[in-house]
Amino acid sequence: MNAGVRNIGEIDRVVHEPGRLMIVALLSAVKQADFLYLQHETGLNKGTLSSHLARLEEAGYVAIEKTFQGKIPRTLLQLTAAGRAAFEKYRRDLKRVL
Amino acid sequence: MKEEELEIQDYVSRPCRYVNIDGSNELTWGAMCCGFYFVDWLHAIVSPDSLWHRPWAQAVCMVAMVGLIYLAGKALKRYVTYPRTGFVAYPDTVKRRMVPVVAAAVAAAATFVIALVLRGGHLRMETILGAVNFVFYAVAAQPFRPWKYGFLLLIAAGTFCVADAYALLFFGLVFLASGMTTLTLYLRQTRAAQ
Repeated sequence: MNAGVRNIGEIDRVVHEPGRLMIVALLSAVKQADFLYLQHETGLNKGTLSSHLARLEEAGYVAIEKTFQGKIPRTLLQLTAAGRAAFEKYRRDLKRVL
Repeated sequence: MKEEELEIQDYVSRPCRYVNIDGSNELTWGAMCCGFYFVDWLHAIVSPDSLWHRPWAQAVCMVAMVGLIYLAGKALKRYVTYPRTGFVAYPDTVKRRMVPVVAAAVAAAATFVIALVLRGGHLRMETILGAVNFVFYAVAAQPFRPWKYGFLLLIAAGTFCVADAYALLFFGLVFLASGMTTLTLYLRQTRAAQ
């Protein structure tokens, strides 16, 4: 088996999914963003975005903070150090594999 | 490979393009230029023994004006942009905000040096002001759309054509017009979240 094919197995499946990859890429460039921003930029619906965020939170890649601005609830999202490292590694792995 | 990497890079760079999605950079700078022109104009028309000619009165007015413009920018983000397309906090905000200022300062210095070499330092103040505004617009009015080149050309033309006394007002109005256009397009293309 060649090295490129072997490396495919090492790719982080949590980040590799297109929806989650969009989320992680967007969050990698900011300190914090809210749910609405991610929804606007990714074009995903609320349910799909929520499930992707839950998966990323479960993996320890995203920190979710629920706050209020006045009476309006706001969900703030931040990439954790582990998430940042996973994204960098994913990009390196992708370059190596392809 | 290149395609996937470019697509990822596009998502990584999107938040940078979001900063001025509502035209707040242009509106802030335009209001600042018009405000300074107004202070200057007031200084010229009121009688020399009036309160206005005391240095502290002008300092208070300047601080109030800058504070008001800053708060108006914050209000635009809070009540218009964030409810429509979401909130983003950037890392190292001070460094990011200094980029247009540093670029404009470099432009002013470069213009001065060029004038020094070509014309022995003989230069209209408005030429430096025009160069500063030209570079500031090119850096601060991102993301650049085709119609923004028109405003850039207008600034370039104004550098040489507008009378000294009205230069600040002219540049301020150009920035305000560009900011209002960006804001109008943004409002038309987005809807407030339900």
